Amino acid sequence: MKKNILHKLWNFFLLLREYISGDFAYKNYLQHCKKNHMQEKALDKKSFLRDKEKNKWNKINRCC
Amino acid sequence: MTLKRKKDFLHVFLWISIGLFGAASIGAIALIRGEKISSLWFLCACICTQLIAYRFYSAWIAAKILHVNVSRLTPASKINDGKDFVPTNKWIVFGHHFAAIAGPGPLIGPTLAAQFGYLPGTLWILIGCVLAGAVQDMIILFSSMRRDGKSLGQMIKDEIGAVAGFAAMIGTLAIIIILISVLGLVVVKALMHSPWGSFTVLMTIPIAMMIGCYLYYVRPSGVIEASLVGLTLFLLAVYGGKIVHYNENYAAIFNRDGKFLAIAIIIYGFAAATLPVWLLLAPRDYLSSFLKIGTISLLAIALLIFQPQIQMPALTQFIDGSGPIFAGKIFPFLFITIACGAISGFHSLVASGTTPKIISNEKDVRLIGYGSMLLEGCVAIMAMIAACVLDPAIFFAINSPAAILGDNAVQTISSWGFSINQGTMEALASQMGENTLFSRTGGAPSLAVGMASIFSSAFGSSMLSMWYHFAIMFEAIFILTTLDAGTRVARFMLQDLLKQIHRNICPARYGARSTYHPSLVAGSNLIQRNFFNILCSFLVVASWGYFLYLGVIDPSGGVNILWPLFGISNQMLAGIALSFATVLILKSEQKKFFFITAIPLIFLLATTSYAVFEKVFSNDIRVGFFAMAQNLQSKLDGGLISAENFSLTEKMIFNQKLLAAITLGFAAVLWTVVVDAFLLSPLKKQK
Repeated sequence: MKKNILHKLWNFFLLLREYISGDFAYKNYLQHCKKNHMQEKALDKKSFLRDKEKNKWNKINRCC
Repeated sequence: MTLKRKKDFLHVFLWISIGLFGAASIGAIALIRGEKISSLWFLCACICTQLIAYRFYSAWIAAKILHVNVSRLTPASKINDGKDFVPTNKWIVFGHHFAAIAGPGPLIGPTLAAQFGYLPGTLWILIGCVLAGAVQDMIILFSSMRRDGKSLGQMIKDEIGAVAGFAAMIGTLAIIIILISVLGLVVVKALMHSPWGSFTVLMTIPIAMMIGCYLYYVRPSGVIEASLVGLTLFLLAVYGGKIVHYNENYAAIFNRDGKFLAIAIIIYGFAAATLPVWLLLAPRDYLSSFLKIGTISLLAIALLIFQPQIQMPALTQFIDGSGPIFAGKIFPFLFITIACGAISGFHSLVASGTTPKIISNEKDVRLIGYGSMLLEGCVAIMAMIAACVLDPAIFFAINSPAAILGDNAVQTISSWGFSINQGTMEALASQMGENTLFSRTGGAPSLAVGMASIFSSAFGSSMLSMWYHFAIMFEAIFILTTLDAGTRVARFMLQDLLKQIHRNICPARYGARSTYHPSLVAGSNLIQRNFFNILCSFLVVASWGYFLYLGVIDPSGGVNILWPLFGISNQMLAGIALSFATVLILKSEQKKFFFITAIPLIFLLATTSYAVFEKVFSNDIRVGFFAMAQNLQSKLDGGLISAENFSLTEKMIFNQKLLAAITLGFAAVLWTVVVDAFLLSPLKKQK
């Protein structure tokens, strides 16, 4: 039981790291490209993350 | 008893205990008089109230009114475009949403409202948060999610009408402008004549840029390692400030007055909004998000360990409207001073932004919409505690503007019934590494003193000044992030608005998936486009810069003018969001439950309209804009103003009238939406 919780926490930490670093988003993007058969046109990781960062700040995502 | 019944019984028993304990804590806060109470009661009252509300009220709303459907696909799963719409773990969405909604607001509002005593603000945060703020956030988040992540403005346009949609758009732009100016004012007031603070905050800019370059050119996915390095450098910058503070030559360079800092921030804002986001905005946002979560957790832990006593009385004499920090009676001014933490209209913009596009299951709206707001309520309570653990005399000495304290500050404060002496304040200032702590308005310095004393009591008092400046830096950097991000968004919104006015420049092509996209800017030519971008950035910075400067030169501290204006605009937006939510419920089959949003809406309409009325027409010159204008005019006519101040006074009269017009404009926007929502559009459509 205890081991289970620790295991879950560790997994969550890994997920969090993946999310913050952008690996999660890129993995998802590649999957999406694969599904729609546009792998050839897929951006490389650097360009994808740069693009993502740029678009993030075009909308309200920080509050008072 | 069977196992299941035993479990049920335990559950019922547990929730009844939480309820009773919460009620006892609120009772203790409200009723104990004459002896000091522990801050632990505040945390207990807050957590128990929120647990009960989350377990029962939010579940009831989700099940009965929203009809949350676990098996229905969310836009993230349905669209899953690999970019905006990505199904994400609910705890990560929770963190994402909380980081987006919680800014400096819930820290500053309660600090200012502590002038009424600890009780009114605490009760408003407890009740407003669970019955109004969190309900608003959850319903807006849910309805945006059901509409593929449409923005609030777009939803209002679809569900109420074009007029209301347009009004909401203007209101949103206005609130951002006012928000930025008041936050800028807080930073200016915190750094005024403080070499240590100014140096530290200035240093955070090149540090963030270095991190930005690393993330852009070297390793875009190295956010965690880069942030750790950045945070270490930030701490070094805090330490560097100490060297600056104690070195006369350096201190002279960084010891600046309000006007200088205001202009510096305006130039900074313009530069930051035109720089690419990866260079400054994005890296600093990572740093400030980590700092925010870290510092707030640290504060919670410190409060649990140290359990400081509350020094502030439950109620002060300033509930009559004579408060030194801001003027105005407890009703309605308490309810617009604390917006973030109780109910904040701005959240409805965030809740209809990125968050609805990444939720993977409908049932998570409870945790993300309702839960995040509860956590913000907790932050507000902690800010309230940090203000109230200070000796009230010190609290008022720090937060009252110089014009109120007069030449003999000690005597003025004593006349309010709080005893203090010059020596104590001087010792405190030197302990904190400041030149003076008298009249450091804006809320940030007093919060920093409060936080520093809590931290140092819990973790050792040797580093009081480091804690203080750490707290100042912590507040300043996420204010600066809001300032950058707000200027940028306001620019897109202004461009959108200009396009709506001149549709022929470029046909509108934006919808849920591409709100405020820069490629939609008028003109296809690159130079033209850049010029248009820079012009619009300039217009935005000029508007908030104007109010910021006006606040800085105002003799009564600026907070008295700008914070109520911000509160009114925020509650105006909350009124718009709640009107929309009420219309949705009235249109659904759950009409009979419309009161869950209608009651908060009516309350907000009453407080906001009354506050607008007071701010514009009150006879008290510290409250009413027209009264102040008239007072200045009569001084001018009576020849009481010296020749050198003549033009300044004329400008001040103009400004008072301008502020009155803007305040009335907020009320007009709010009532336009309300009238359109309840009297014109939906009724027509239903018949």
